[in-house]
Amino acid sequence: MNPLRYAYYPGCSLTTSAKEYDRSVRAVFDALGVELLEIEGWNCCGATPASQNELLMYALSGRNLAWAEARGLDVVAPCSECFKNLNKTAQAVRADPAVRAEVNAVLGDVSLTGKVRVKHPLEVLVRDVGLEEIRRRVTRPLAGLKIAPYYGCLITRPRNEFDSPENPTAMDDLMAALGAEVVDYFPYKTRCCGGALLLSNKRIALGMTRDLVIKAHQRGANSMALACPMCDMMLDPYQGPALRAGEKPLPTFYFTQLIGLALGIDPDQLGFADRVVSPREVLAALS
Amino acid sequence: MNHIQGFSPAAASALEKIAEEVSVCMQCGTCAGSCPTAPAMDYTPRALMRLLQAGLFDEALHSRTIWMCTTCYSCTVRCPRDIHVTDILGKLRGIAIAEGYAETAGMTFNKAFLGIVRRYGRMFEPELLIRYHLRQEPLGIVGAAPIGLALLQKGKISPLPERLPAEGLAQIRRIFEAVEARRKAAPARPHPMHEVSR
Ligand code: SF4
Ligand code: SF4
Repeated sequence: MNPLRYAYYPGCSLTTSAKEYDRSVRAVFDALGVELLEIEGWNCCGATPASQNELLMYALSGRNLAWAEARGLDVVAPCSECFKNLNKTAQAVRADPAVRAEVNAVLGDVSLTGKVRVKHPLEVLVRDVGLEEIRRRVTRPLAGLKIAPYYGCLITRPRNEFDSPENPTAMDDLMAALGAEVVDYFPYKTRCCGGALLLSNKRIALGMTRDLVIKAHQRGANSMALACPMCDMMLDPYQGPALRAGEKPLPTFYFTQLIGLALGIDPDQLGFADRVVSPREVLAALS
Repeated sequence: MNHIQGFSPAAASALEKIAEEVSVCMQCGTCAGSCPTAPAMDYTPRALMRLLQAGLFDEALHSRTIWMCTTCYSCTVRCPRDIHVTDILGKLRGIAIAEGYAETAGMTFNKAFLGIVRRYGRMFEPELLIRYHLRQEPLGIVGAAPIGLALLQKGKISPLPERLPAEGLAQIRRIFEAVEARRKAAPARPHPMHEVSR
């Protein structure tokens, strides 16, 4: 098999608030022999605010995609918001010649043909590397963890070829392959965390986050797996403010941190110390 | 001649396209039933589609709804008529800003965010927080301080912006300018569907 190689788009959050996501993605991909080439001079995708101007979103995303396309690489984007913008752009540029022409006119000195594909790390791990291969490499099964797999809203939306927008299962399967117990977290697994409203409508956003934690406890989870820096902002640093006095916090992890742990990578390399809700107790329970 | 009165030609043309898309909405309410923030909206997504069908664009652009949307796409993936509700709300936010509607909290956030992207090519959260709170609830910054400190201690906030190199920054600026120029140049289309005034 040819070694897997991708262009890597970290996005702004992975250089700051989600740095343990970045570290754990790189460590896990490296351990599995998947090469990531960081896109040189990448720019912000525009995140949610760019939804007010489709062409701006396409162009900001497209500038990053052009670097990858010129090198014949597909793109891996771990942040759900970046993933959604980049993937939407790649899909639109591929499907619609008029959009392609308009985006290229705005981009000016670089251009897109529409060949480039965008993948979330979850897709690369489950589809391209494969669950069998990952299961084979597990040296430290996660027995004792009861994980609520939380996908957030954007990984499989509005549309992609890889998993269901209503009841995705890739992360369920992956966590099970690591030896963890996976609780049934449907339909909350794709319910919005409210993150986009954290500044402008804080009370509502925190209420949405609180609900996710309570539902996870009700389903018997002792931890949650995450795949998005915005969900993480809500469910880690802002989980405290979201919960009411006396309500039990729920440790959360990036799903890549959990894979790294199961593959036997040194936990210090995976950024467990960066978590705000202390994971110590639940990790100590790992048999 | 353009019949969507009271709007710039660019906005009128964008609103016309939106009206065309929502004309097939059958008011089933699936979007409203799927929307996590519908209880906090003045018009549910379904009701907003109705406003647009009726040509009541000014009401739609004044609504709280467009700023309460988290862009979770629940409505879009479930709409039986394949209407891109989420993207329509996004376009309405853009039109509300361009047409000078009163500044909402969400509008302040979007403007500050995109301004930073334009200046540095990347996000810089401390500046976003400061710019947001200077315009909306200045005391809110005090409430954000404890978490800010916790994140700073864990090295999760950078004290300085990370700018792109000059060449990249020039490209980003050109992108913003070219997009703005195209938006303004949008043609007013010949067969308007709605006769309304603002
Ligand atoms: S789900 Fe679609 S068809 Fe039904 S009310 Fe909403 S926009 Fe209209
Ligand atoms: S995308 Fe917006 S309008 Fe649609 S369900 Fe989500 S929050 Fe509601």
